[in-house]
Amino acid sequence: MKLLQRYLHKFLLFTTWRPWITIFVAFSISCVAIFYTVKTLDFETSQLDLISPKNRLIKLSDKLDQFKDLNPFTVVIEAPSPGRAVSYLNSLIVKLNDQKRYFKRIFYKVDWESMKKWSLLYLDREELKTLRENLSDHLDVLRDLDKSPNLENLFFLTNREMTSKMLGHFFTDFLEEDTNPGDKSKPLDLTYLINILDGMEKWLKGKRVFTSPWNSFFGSTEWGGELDSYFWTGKKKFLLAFVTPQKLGSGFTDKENSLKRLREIIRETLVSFPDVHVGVTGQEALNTDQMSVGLRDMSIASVISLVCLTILLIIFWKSARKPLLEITELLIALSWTFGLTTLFIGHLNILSMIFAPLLLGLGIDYGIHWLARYEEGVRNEERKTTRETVILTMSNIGPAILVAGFTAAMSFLPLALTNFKGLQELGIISAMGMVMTTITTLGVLPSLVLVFDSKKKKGVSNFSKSSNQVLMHLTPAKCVAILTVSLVLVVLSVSVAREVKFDLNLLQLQPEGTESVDWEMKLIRSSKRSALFAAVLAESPEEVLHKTAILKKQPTVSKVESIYSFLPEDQEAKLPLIHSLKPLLSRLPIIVPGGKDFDLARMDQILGSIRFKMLPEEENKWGSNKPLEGQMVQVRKLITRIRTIISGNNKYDAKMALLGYQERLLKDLKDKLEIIKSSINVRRPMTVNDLPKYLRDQYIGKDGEYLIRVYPKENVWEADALARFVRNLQSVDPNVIGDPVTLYVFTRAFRKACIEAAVYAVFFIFGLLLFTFRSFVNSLLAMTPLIIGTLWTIGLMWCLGVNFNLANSLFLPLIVGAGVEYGIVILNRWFQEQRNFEGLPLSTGKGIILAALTTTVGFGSLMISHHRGIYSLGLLATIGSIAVMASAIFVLPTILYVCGRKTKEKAGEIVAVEVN
Amino acid sequence: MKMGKKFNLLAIVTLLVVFVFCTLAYGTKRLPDTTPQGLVKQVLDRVMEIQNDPNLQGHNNRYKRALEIKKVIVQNFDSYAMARKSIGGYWRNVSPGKRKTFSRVFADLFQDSYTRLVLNFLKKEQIDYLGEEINNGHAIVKTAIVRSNDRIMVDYYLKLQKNRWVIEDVVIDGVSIVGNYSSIFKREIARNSFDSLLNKMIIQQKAIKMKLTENKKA
Repeated sequence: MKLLQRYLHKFLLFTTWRPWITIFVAFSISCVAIFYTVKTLDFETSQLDLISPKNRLIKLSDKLDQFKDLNPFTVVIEAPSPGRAVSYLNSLIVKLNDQKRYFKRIFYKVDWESMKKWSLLYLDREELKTLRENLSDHLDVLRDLDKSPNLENLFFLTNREMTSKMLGHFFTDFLEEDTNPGDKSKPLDLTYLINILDGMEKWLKGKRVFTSPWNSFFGSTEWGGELDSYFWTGKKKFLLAFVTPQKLGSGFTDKENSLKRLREIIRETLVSFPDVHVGVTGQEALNTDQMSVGLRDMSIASVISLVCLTILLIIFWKSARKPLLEITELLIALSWTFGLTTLFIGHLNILSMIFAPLLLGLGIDYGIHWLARYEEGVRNEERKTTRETVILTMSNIGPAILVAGFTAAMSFLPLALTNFKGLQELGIISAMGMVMTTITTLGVLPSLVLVFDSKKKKGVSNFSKSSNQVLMHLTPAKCVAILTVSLVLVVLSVSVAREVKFDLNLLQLQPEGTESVDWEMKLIRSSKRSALFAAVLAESPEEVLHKTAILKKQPTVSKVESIYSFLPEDQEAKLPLIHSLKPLLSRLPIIVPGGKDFDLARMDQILGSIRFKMLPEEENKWGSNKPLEGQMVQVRKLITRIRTIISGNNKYDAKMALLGYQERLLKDLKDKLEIIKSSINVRRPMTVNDLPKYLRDQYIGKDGEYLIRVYPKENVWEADALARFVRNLQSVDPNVIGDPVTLYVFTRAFRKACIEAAVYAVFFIFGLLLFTFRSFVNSLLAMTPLIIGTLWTIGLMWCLGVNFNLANSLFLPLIVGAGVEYGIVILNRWFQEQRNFEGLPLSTGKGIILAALTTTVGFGSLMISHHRGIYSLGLLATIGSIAVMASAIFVLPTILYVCGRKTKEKAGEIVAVEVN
Repeated sequence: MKMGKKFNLLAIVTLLVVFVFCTLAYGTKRLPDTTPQGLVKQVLDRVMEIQNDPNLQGHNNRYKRALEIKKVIVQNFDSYAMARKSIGGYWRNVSPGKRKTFSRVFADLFQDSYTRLVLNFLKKEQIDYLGEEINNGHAIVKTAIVRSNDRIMVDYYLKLQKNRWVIEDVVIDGVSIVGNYSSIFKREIARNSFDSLLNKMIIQQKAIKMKLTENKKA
């Protein structure tokens, strides 16, 4: 320490020879550093950038660049009916097409006209058989409808069919049973009637929502006609569209403007569709949202933190000048660090971007300790000049700050030894930052004080007024109490330490109430189609089919998608079935779109007849074809409501609404019949070349490789599910890549790196302390606040239900740095007080309290964040700094007091022996 | 000779009078007892009387009710004509023996089916008689079964046969019973053959007879 004092004295003389020159040079370097940083510093925003480029996974991931639009924004539309969803999407697309500045490409459907002829091939064989049977059964209805295409006739024919079924039950069932044994107890499906009635009711009430009833009429739930050219999740629950954003600007949120614009247009379009819900998700949107929310909350927290810090410092210093000097010195250190980062690293990544708040949180402490001792010097040595007081301060606190600063740098440096590029860079930048902060505290702050604080008698703060006091007078009884309580807390903390885990669950980090997260969860819950997918590459079509077959069998896989997934299955067997429809086709009518006028009163009467059959007392007349009771109730209720409307006073409006619905209904029927007709001429199976080019580009790369997307069955935002999914896929193909794999590798590597860095840091710090104090005991004493404070922090984490996670673990070095710093400062003071403590001197104690409070206020403000990762980070920084401070101001002084008394007793004994 | 001429004239006049009286008497006797609508009403009233007879209530008396209803059907429906119409053009291609068998089996099946329909359908119905149309020995009686606000139209097609009206088809909600038979029978004949149809009908007839025997024993 003496050696350090000598060197620091020389250093001080050098820097304060002409304080203005020092300040000028410091500012000049800052300006150059800022200019250089603004011009040169780059941002790496991908998670892949956090892993070493030499990593095998990164090299493999580069192969994905050959595929087009791998991670677009996914627009998810939820509407009362598929038709309504498509109407909304079409309105949205018109507006998006005008925004080329924001959107590179929009992919929402395949060209229907070119795909129409293939559409029957997408039905399975059973569905095709049902289609053939139903076409045959309903042929008379269709032809009779063609003669008078209107709703009245449609209901007449429907009623007639129902009556036939009922009569058939009594008269000819014995023949039906023989020809269709499976249909013996098959209930009559009223879905199509319900859909028509439901549609009519909606149109009568002014809601123009159309759901095609013809799918159930033709016996296929999957056959959506043109609707199938859009992208749907299962059962057409959600309609999806894919928007590739333009990169606007650079940095973490280069796609934020595109995302914002997309959401604005979605909201504008929703004005005309109040019954539709729309959200944007997908990996790109999740990343952008996370970054935007993170940066926004960080900015708000920074402002709050800055205001609170300023108020705190002004209250403590009773002056605005010293906080200003302190902040100035810190900003100089920060700008230097930015300059060095730009020079040696060249970029920031999503981990190393937090170095600035880290640096501010820790670096401000050194200024506080320095100024606290300076104030004490001003008070105690009134006759001395400012320069003499500065020299005295440097002598008293300089070595401690130097050791604390380098120890803090040492606590970061082990991150550079990990095999995780993101943390390596964070470690190097933060270590450089700690060194810069230490240098500016010891080299620039004294000059600033000499220039701007020469009128030293003014504004004497609490520190100076109470320089001879101690924070708490220690007595043997108090010591026993403090040590007992501390020990109990340590034991309790150790006992629950196992319960505090390193949680890799990314879901716990997601911002609450963020649109992309909410819609991602909706997609996972209702359709198991996560935005995340693993990517398996194949070199030939045979390999694609082979790998797809194996992947589909895996227990963790919900869906496997390749370019071949877009082709119909079992085509060779389906073609004859489709061709067998040909004889029926000649008899198929051409429904006139629009339909004809009809008699509302007559239709009302027919509806009455249908409802008659749905009455509970009529149930036994249906026999084996009796419709499901729920459907009968539904039909009954719908007809009752419709008849109430059409028999009301506004018959003209009712008629107009029904004519509108009729037009839509018949157009839909015409479309479906046309599909059947156009499919019949297909002579060969569909091939990949028949698929749209845009689709091919997504699955067949420029290098000729094929992409297989593998979707997880479980929610891979949860760590265990992610591990199961990735391990399962790696057992099939060790070269599997994609977001889930990156996440898996990233989170595992990160946790490993954090644990390694913590172990290295403890050894490094202890080694440095041993070197500095040349005493094992003193080194251990200096680490006491860190050890006890960390244990208490873990205990508090258990109490508050907080785990270590990917976000908050980054701030562990802050706690480590603060813990060691407090230990060194206290131990340094103890040495200066000739190892004679009645308690921790007030100036030192308050310096530590202020330093801890700055950390608490600075990082506690992060708890306002909706981002759960940032919130947990703020919480951990707060409880950590409070725990370390408590152990520093209570436990270490108590131990030193006890050690001091023992030393005195020994000395007393020696003196007594000598006297005797 | 004069006497002879007088006798001849008297004889002729007598014969004429006898002929006219006989003709008149014959004609008067052959006029139907009731109108088509009257017949339909009689049939429906009788059926509902059986259905609501306090002595024939309950599931145990279902067989007895069925027997009574079947009597009404046998008396008032022309099953032979219905059988012929149900296979339309095929009738000409069927041998007289098979025609006879087919008609007999059809009658059995129809009567059983219609009995079941009546047993299940008609009990205490409100029936509106909407009028009758008579044309050249054929008649249509229009009725509606009314329940609360809804109604089902039931049209009875009758023909004059041996001076009485008999029912040859019933059209419920626009669906003819004979037409229903016809479309199913045609499909069966087209898919298989007339013989196949007849065989299936015979099997069904046997099944019904067995069931009747069981019910009778019960």
